Amino acid sequence: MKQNRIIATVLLVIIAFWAYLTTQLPETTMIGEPGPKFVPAVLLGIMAILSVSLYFTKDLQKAEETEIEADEIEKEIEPQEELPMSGALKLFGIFFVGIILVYLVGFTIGLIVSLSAMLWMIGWKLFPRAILFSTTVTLAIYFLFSWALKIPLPNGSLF
Amino acid sequence: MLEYFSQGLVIALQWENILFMFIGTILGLVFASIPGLTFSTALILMIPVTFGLDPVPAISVLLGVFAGGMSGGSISAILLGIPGTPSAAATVIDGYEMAKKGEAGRALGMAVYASVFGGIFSLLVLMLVAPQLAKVALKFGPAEIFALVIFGLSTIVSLSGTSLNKGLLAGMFGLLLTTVGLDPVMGLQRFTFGQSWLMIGIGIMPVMIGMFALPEIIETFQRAKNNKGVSKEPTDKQVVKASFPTLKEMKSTFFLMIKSSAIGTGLGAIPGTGGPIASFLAYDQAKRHNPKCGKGVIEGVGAPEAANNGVTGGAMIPLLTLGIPGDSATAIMLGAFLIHGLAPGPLLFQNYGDLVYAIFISILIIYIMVLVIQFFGIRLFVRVLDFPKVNLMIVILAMTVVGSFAINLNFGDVLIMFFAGLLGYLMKRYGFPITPLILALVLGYTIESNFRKALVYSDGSLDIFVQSPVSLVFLILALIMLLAPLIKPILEKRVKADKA
Amino acid sequence: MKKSKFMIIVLTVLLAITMLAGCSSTPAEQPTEPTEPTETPFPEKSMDLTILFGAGGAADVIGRKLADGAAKELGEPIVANVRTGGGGAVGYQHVLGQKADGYNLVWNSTSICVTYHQGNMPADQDYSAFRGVAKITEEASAIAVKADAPWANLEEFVEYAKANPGKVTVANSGVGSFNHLTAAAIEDALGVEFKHIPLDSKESVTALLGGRVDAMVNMAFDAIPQVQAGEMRALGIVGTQRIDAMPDVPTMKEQGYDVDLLMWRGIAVPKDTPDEIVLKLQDAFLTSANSDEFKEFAKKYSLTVAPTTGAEFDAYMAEQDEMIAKLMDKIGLKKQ
Repeated sequence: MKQNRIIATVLLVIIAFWAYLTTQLPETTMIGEPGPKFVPAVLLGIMAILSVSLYFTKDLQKAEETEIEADEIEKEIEPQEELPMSGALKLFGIFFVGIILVYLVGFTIGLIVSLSAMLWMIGWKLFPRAILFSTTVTLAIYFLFSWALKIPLPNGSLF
Repeated sequence: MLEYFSQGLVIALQWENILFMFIGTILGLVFASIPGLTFSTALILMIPVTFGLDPVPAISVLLGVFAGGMSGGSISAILLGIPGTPSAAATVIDGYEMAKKGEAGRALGMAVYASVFGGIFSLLVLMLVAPQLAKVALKFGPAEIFALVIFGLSTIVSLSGTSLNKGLLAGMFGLLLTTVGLDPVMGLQRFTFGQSWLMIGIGIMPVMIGMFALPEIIETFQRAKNNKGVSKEPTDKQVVKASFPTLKEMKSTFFLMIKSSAIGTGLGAIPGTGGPIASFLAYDQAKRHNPKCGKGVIEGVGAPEAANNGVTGGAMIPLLTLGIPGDSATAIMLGAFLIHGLAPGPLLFQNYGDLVYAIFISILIIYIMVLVIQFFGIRLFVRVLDFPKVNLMIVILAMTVVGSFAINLNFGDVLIMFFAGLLGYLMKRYGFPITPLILALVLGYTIESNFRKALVYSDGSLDIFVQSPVSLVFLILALIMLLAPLIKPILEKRVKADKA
Repeated sequence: MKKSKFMIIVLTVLLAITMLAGCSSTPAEQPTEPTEPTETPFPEKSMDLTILFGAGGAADVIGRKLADGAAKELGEPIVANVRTGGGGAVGYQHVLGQKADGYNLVWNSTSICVTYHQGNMPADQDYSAFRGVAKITEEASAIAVKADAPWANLEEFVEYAKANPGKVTVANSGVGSFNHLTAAAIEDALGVEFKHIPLDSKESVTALLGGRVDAMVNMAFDAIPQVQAGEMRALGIVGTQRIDAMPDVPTMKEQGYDVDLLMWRGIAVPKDTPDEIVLKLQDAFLTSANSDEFKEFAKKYSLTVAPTTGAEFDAYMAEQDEMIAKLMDKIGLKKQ
């Protein structure tokens, strides 16, 4: 019961914010055409209804959930073991820092740092295993893209 | 016609042509099967190559990439649960399920069979009725395309799994994301906060890479952490055998294959629709065919693969007969025609009949190559599952960054990829299905732009959507799909009541 | 060991792709005699040419061909990179965000004026944020109707349009597109009023062939195959001269209407790029543009090769910008 309520509330906040942005859009200059606001407005309306209905929907019980046939991809992963969300978010966080580093100091350094850190976090020895492996992977990909495919990878905006 | 055929055969069978078809097919397969890379990148890389080639090899290499790419997208979709191309997004659903059951070889076999089936089916259509089909495709204006795509969107209902409410929410959010960027009619910025990287909009590729790959990678890492750095592998070394569908399976799926290939060919022929839509519509058909779809059955793999390969031949129809490319792949092919002074269009068949037939024969040879390469390749591909999963996932993680950047050479796409991955993780966690969002993202732009353009035609009158019989039929079908989950329980109750 | 085996396979795959790509990208075959290093050594590394529109499209293919020729002159490769989005805005802003050292070029076009006035560029980044290296090509558009349309020529079409103001549907390539501006200019010259249908250039062709619009204003290039096949009839060319592929179609001027609007393309760099570098680039690109090979190539896309120097290009851009601003104001799209 509680989970759906929280999700629905978050969604409604997003919808409200997006709706505010929608009101800021200009009108159309063409006859007949409903303009840039129309489609977002309709979608937000439908989403608001769905969110409210989600708010009043009971959370599915685990047992109930597995009973129901024909489910999505996530199905088989779930029953194994519940992985802590905090761990996942930490990993996402390191990856995000890596992406920011890629933007600031370039593709190679950014990825080597973040990949090594992630490997270290999951129990690899930082040196030499994690660093060596991430360096090899990063350099191989870097070489493949910049040299062979001539795709200019980010070099870092600080330089 | 027979004369053209024999002349075409001579051109198509030149060793140079065969060589470039082979290179193209391999490139398409490789690029499409590596998550993060897509065969569109391969096509762009091939543009300078086509400058220096004769027309037929130039087209052949591109066709090879196109067909190889369409069929190669299924490889990583099945093995890793990450679609290699947007057109393979529907293949993930059952393909990955099968791989988890240890039937990766069987799924890959089915994907290859279906790909070649769809490709050759569409080639036959292209050869036999291209001009007629092109005339039909011309009748698809904004109103008709809008209705068709709405029908495609209505399959969200069957993709939603346990909670229709959550599925619809995911779908609507996907549609909402497509409104970011330039307004499709006015060309003004919407929800971009003045950021130039958001002007391209929220692209399907970065979102798909993020949503499918990141949660999978993070989860593997977490499992590995619990096992001190070693991901727990299925110890019972599943002997993954590459196996083609049996004759019995081929028989039982025959009509589904025909239907799916026809959906692919038809949508390929209508400019502005294309692979991803076709594969989801075909998946919906598979669900009707076998209600176990979603739990890992060959129908769920075969239908989308037949459909997205059907698109290859279908997309050639408006290209060759009208000179109009239906998507980015055929746009690049149009370029290859033009730089050789061949203008595709109504006159191509008259003036260059031999070349046209050479292209037809080349498509056939390419599909035979796809079949052979993939047949032997499967044994190699499934070996991917033997690698330590953490190592594999690190490579893929690095590829997600490069891949999302390389699409538009835009760093913003990397950010979009990341946030899509985070959102995908949360959605999975809280039971929101991902596929409706992906489907909506594919369709959103087409829906809005065609809806609004249709209203420009009609001066704002909604009659335009019901006056055209084509549009009316698709809208009614969509309505039935949407209302089915509401009506079904009522009907079932009635039946039960009758019985009682 | 598992891991080493895995690495070997990864490296083999990478190597295979590398080799395949190696034979694909032909970066400037051997440079014709190295340019005499007199003043500043430029270029010392490969240059990046931003292409603003879709891969495989006319802008992309022509730009690559031109860059190939110029790279041969300069002795370093010019890598064409497609940066689409925002009607060109994304690519323009990317180039302006790079160093003004001559290594970042843009395959510029009329779109700089349109996208600026449409409000998709920051207020201080209009055409004058760039410096012209060379203007290269010009492209004409045409107004066409279906072959079985009741109007045999422009005269009859104008007559009908005058009798039915706001009724004649004309497909253009989207709101604010070059063809929309052209259609607006045609309205002015003809003294008529159209109903503009904003499609894209390919949709315009299908819409006209499918009978959903009365006429289209499109790049001549998109009309040619249909006109040659007898599916469409071109009523007039909006440009200074007739087009080889449709020699029977008169220009608007010939028919007594004063409208000529050309889509131009050229090479530009951020405005602070030093003179000597711009001059070097200019020479290379002009040589490339004047080569028979490039001219032959441009002909296939029905482009007129009309090269001018960077200084002339700057003046031309200023003049065009003023005209485009006026047209955009007329159709109510001018935001800045």
